[in-house]
Amino acid sequence: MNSNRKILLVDDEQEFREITGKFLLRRNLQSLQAESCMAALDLLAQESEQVDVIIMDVSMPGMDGISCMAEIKKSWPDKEVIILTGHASLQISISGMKQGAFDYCMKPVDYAELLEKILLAREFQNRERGK
Amino acid sequence: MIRKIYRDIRRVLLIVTIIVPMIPFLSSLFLGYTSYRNFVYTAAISGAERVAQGHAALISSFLEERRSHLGTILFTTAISSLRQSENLAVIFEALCRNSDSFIDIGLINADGVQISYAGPYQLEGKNYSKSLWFQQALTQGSAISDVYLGYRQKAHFTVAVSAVIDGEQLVLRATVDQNLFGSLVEKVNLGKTGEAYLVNQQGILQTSVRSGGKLLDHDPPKETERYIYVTASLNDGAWFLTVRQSIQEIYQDLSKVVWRIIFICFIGGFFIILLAVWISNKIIAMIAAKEQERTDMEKQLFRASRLAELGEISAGFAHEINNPLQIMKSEIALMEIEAKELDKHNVTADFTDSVAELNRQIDRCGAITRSILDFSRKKDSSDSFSIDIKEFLYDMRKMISHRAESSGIHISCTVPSDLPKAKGDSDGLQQVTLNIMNNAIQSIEEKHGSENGELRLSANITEEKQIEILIEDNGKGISAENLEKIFNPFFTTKLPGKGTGLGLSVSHSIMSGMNGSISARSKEGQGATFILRLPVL
Repeated sequence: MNSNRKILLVDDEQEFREITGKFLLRRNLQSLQAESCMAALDLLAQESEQVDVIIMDVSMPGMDGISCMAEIKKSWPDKEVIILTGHASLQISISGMKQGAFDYCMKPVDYAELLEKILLAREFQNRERGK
Repeated sequence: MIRKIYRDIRRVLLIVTIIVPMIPFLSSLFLGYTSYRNFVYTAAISGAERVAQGHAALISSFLEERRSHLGTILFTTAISSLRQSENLAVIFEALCRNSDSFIDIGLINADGVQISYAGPYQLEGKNYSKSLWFQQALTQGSAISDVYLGYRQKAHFTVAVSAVIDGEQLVLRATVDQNLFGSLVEKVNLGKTGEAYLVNQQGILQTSVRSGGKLLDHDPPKETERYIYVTASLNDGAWFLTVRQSIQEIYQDLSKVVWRIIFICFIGGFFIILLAVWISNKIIAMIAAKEQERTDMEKQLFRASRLAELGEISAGFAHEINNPLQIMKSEIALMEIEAKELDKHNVTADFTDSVAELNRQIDRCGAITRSILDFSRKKDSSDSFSIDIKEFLYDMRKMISHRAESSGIHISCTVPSDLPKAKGDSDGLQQVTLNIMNNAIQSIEEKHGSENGELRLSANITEEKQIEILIEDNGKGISAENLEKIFNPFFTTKLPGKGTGLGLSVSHSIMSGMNGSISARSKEGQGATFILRLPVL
């Protein structure tokens, strides 16, 4: 069932979205892409069932990633969010975690680490659903 | 420029602080002087008036006594006896024994003819009918004449009394010794320069004036700028006694007062100037201190704004660098996948090594941008809140326990239960503590491998009422040379690609931002202790 689920990539950098999508695909993970928080909310409104894990950049024009995550959690509390921060600092990551993020990665992202965290998020999600 | 402004302010302050007290000071001295001068003058006038009145009374008494003597003779002596010059001479001799002021005496009939005479001159038979004193004596009963020369051509004056005896009006007259009378008048007790003289109604001197003015001359013009003058009338208003005194004598004591005033002026002025200089210097010092404070504050603000600017630049820089780094990393990740597939077709090991090295260098760049960002992002101490150090340290131990256990490191934590809460930002303290603990774990791993590692966390309160957190390890320690540099930015002892050299300088910056401090002590090969201090809440 999970193999049909997709990863939602929310980042204003198109190149990052594309290359990360390509990488995930090489690891047999399907992904959707949104360039802003509003686009992500629209996409989730249409295809929320297809998405299980969201990779969210913190620094984006308009609504920032932490606020966007809070909005998503209001409507889809079961979605797990991994936050990415280019403005790397422990405080931002801690703040994201306190507001419900599953985990965080600092840019530039180590893909092995990201992949591991995506899989952990899925496992956690499955456990939670199985309860 | 600033020094010139201070000089100008000091000059103005000096002028104001000298002139302002000087005006009332000198005014009061001047008023005191003029009041005293007026008082001296008034006192002198009053004194002269008293002397003049007393002296006039004395002279009047003298004249009255002479008139009385003549009256007694006229009324008590037989006229027949008085008509005989020989008898009159006897009477005159007796009179002179009582009063030595008479020169001669004569009896005059109603026609003004002197019928008998006793004295040094030949005046018997002389006619005085035209003399004013004779006429006055006939009409008023007695008279005292002005000073005149008369038949003898010598200055004198006459005292005369008249009476009607046995139906005949007779006048008994006597001449008063002008020298004796003059010395009586002049003998006035009024300082060294005080003198007295008589003038009649026509302004003719009836006595000489000691300081210049002959008998029967006109009264000299009054020198009011040199003398004070006081007058008193006598002889039924016919004469005026004038008493005068030198103004210089009156004011001779005033010069002593003037010298005292000048002395007070000098002493007072000296103290005023001294005080003015002291006050001016004090105020200038205060202004300079305030100005320095303001300049320091401006410098701090400038530094703060530059740091904020640096923070913004760094944030932009990090963002801009991180994005291409991310793309590079992503491409490498894909290349690795491709390489693994290609490996099946004999791709060289060198390619794999190169990709790994690229990854390491990109990670290093990413770590540097993160650290630069953290370093520039100084936290304001106003974000303070309380930290329960016991709870905090136990949480920190928990956070790194998995990694520490895998390296065989035992972590102990000792915190007194009554330790007060610290004032600070827990996120900042977490970052600092994690950084030190990660360094400690690496140091222990380098010395002990995966056995016998010790990491001790403890806290206490210092005598200065600060919370002190100690993080001690038994790792490889830090050399004395490096210990001086560990908080400098970009200083690292780690291998290339393993450390940015910013962790401890960022920690130092965070602790300073919380009004705290960080320090370290260590000996090479014997572990290290990091000491964090925070204010008590």
